[in-house]
Amino acid sequence: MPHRAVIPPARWKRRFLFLFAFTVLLPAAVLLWLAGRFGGDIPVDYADPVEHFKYGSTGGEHEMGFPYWIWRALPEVCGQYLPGPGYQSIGMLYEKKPDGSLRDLPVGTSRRRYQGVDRVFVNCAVCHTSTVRTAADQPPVLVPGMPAAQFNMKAFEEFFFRCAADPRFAKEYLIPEIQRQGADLDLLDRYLVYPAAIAIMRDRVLALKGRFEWVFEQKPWGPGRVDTFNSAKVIFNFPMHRLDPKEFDAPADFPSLWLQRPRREPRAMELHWDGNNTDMTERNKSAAFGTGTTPPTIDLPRIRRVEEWILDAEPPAFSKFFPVDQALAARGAPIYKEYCAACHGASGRDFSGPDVGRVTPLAEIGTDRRRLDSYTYTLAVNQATLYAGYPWRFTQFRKTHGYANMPLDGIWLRAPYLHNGSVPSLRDLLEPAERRPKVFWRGNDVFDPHKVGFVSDQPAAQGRALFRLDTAEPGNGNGGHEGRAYGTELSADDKLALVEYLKTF
Amino acid sequence: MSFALTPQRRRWLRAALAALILLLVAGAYLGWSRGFRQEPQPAWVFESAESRFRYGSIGAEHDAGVPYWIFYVLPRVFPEKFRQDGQQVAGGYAALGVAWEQGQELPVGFTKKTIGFPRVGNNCAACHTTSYRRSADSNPVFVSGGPGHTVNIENFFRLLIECARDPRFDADILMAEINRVTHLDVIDQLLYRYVIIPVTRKRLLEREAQFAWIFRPDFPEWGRGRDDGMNLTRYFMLKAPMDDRFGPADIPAVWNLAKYKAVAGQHPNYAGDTHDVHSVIIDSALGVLGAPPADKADFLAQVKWLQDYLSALAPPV
Repeated sequence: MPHRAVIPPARWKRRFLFLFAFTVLLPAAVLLWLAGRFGGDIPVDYADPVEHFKYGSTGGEHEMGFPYWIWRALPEVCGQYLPGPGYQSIGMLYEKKPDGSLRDLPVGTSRRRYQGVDRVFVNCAVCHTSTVRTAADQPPVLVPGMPAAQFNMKAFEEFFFRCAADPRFAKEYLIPEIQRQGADLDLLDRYLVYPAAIAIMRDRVLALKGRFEWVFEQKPWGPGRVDTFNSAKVIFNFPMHRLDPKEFDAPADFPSLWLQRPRREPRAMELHWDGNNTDMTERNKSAAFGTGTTPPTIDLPRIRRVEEWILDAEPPAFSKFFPVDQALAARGAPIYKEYCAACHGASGRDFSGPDVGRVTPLAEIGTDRRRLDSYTYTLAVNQATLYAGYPWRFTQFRKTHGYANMPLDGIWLRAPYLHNGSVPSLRDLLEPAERRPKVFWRGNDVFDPHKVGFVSDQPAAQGRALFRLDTAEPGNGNGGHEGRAYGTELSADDKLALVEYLKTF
Repeated sequence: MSFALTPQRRRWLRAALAALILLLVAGAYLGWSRGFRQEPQPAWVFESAESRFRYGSIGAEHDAGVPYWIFYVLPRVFPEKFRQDGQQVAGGYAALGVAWEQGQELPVGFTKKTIGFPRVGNNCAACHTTSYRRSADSNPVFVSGGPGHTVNIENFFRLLIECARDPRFDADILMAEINRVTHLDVIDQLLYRYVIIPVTRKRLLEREAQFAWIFRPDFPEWGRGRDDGMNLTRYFMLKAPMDDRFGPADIPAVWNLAKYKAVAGQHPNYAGDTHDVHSVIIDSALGVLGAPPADKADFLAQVKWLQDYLSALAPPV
């Protein structure tokens, strides 16, 4: 029998430690590092509620977020699908940093690190913030909460779908552009994370493209408008090509978000253009679908901050920008009281009135019916399944048969007028339909203080083509809200006085 | 070396056994709780006789029930299978012409009940609720007990089976869609992926054999508001071999059942094939259940309630 060497205990101990390090410590360390690198869900936060409104997250980045550097690189790589350089060309707004340089992301986008990648997607402000200039040579003033009268949502959607289908949406084109912009990606990002992210994103966007095919077939919405409830049908994957054609071409103006509290108290108003919901939190969550949220990924605490802010946020006063003829305005007040107050509220801050926030039947109001017809009973009942399993399942959506009477706070910044933005100014709205402009241009932020509305007779501004709105196109009809009761038969002097009074709202 | 049970080993063994039993009990409880535990429907369902008629369970969730989240995502995954008159129609379940009240999670006649996990079944109101509008520009009014003249139930039967037949009825695809609409915990995720989805698929495909006759091209479509009630009874319940008989008939109104007086020779059913309202309700309700009732006493109590309710229910004036 051969003699067996006896291994001293110290060596066993060493071997054990070695094995332990190799099988337990090392994998644990790797796992820990991976968890740190790819775990976590950290949005960029802002203490100030207005900054949060402009740049804070709704949670949409989880599902829809673009990796930050892809977002940055796309306008360069797919520039042929934009009307001009950068996201500015479709009406997104970049604020300046204190040093005078532009911020890296436009107003209305938020950033969140999720699954190891910084992601960017839009928030509420993308559709509810714009700028106003007192003259073409004056600097723009950013107004949070006003309708995004320059943002072209259709062009925005089409840009991403076209770009994702382009052969240049590939790591060979995107990563060099990303590095050129100074990303300085580390090895892991450069060779693993971003190539995978590009492939995944391409797949996702192209998978969605089928559901959004109908958008390409719509008449242009132009800046400041969206086809809200046809977009909502996409959530349910309705076969859009099977819809009744009369449901389509239903663009509606982005609304302002100020002063929501008096729209909720003392009486809950019928919200949305057709007044299809009286529950503000449902209305808000419904709109949040537009920022890419889903029931399991919505960031409710951060949305609540926006909800709190819009309860009492106030529109800027017209008089801070232009003078108001107080004597003339005083002459307009009784005219307003006689003709407008019952439906539009006692003033720009007092929304009391028997019919404020209630639906006026279409036969009576007579404005373009497409937006109304785009919202169907079938959609309403399907919306009652949204947020199923959560205590806040939607229960208040209702099909209506008219348009809701809106309070007029900050009405000067809510041009163009009517739900489809088919009348450029308040003064024009006081004319009967046949004397309202048949064609005008949308998207200018220079204000016309006399007619009260944005300058609408220029085809271009600041080197950018504006949108030519033809009221003869489907969905653009500028009729309705006319006749004696609507003030279109007032004398020219009375109309001037009424418009002057509305400047105080 | 001896393997005799030293006191120390015995202690270990005992501890291991205890742990195993504990694990088994916990597992059994979890399985029961997530798979079979019955929860009563929420109180609002029973607030009025009408809401109970429209949304109250008659026990159909046990066998004919579809797991809630599968039911929820079917229109999103298979929109092409929601049809009327051979044409695809937008609107999910609404496309089938069901009576669906605004604000309600499910159409009238669709019941949600948790038996381990939420499931959707049907009750009598799915067919016996009528819908009318005063003008093209107004919302529908629903009348309980009236004939469901808009609903296409043949398409509903077909679409469930057609979905199960489709290769996209697959855990990866359905779970991706479910995860977009709700948050399931780990256990429910695993349960759905490995048990509920495959078992549902299997169950629906088993129905295919019983329902072979609704796919026969030589049989006419039932269309809206009609139902081949006797074939349902023959094939689905009596498991009779298929022959060439068919007989789609209008869904009848079931209000005021007290009007049928057997002694006076007044018979319910179109062919007057019975004089007993009680039998008609049992037969129809069993058709909705799709299987012998899981709880016979409860089922008979439901039938009794229905008979009382429908006997006294007056048609609208």
